Amino acid sequence: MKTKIKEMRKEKKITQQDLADALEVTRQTIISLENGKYNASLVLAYKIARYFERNIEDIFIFDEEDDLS
Amino acid sequence: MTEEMTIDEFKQAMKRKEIFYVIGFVLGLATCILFSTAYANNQMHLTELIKGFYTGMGGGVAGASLILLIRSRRTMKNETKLKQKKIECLDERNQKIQGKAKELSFQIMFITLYIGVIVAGLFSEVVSMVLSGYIVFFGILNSVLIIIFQRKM
Repeated sequence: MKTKIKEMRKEKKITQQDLADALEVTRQTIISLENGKYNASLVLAYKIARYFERNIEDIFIFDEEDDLS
Repeated sequence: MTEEMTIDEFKQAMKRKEIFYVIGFVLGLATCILFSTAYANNQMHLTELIKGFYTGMGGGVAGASLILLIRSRRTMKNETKLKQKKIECLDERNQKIQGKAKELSFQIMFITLYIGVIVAGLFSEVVSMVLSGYIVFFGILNSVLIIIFQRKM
């Protein structure tokens, strides 16, 4: 699933480690989320949305083809 | 450890895990000592291979348990390391990776056990029956756990 996490993180001028610490996940998870290799759970998606003060739909771009996995 | 936890709750969970490390150390050491002493030589009619295997296995288990216990103690004394360990353990991606690895390992083990039953049967009935028993045990355990989790979730 594509996300806008990278763009939003750069807007805030924070590193992947800073974001990982804020969300209490590993930096590898942030990297995988930004690359679209890993789909966050609902809880993590909500935490990310709350951190960036946006809606989940503004950050996570759901594609119908993602459902096939 | 899959749910949200405070740092104190995580510390308690680590302390509970340490009990298993202590048990592992004691069992490993007992195995090592038992099978390397005169008792094993005189009272048990075991081959040198088995005695050596048990001694080595016991030593390995004791050593690994001791190392894990020491690392756990060190982590708990350092707040920064403890916080980092908590993040690593509770990270959902890490948990998903471990879950997928365990699932695939189980499937591969099942297949290799089955092949083992067939091949072992050509040389030893006892080994073949023991391996068959393991397959049945894991199959029943898997079914029971599915039922339990279906009711829980």
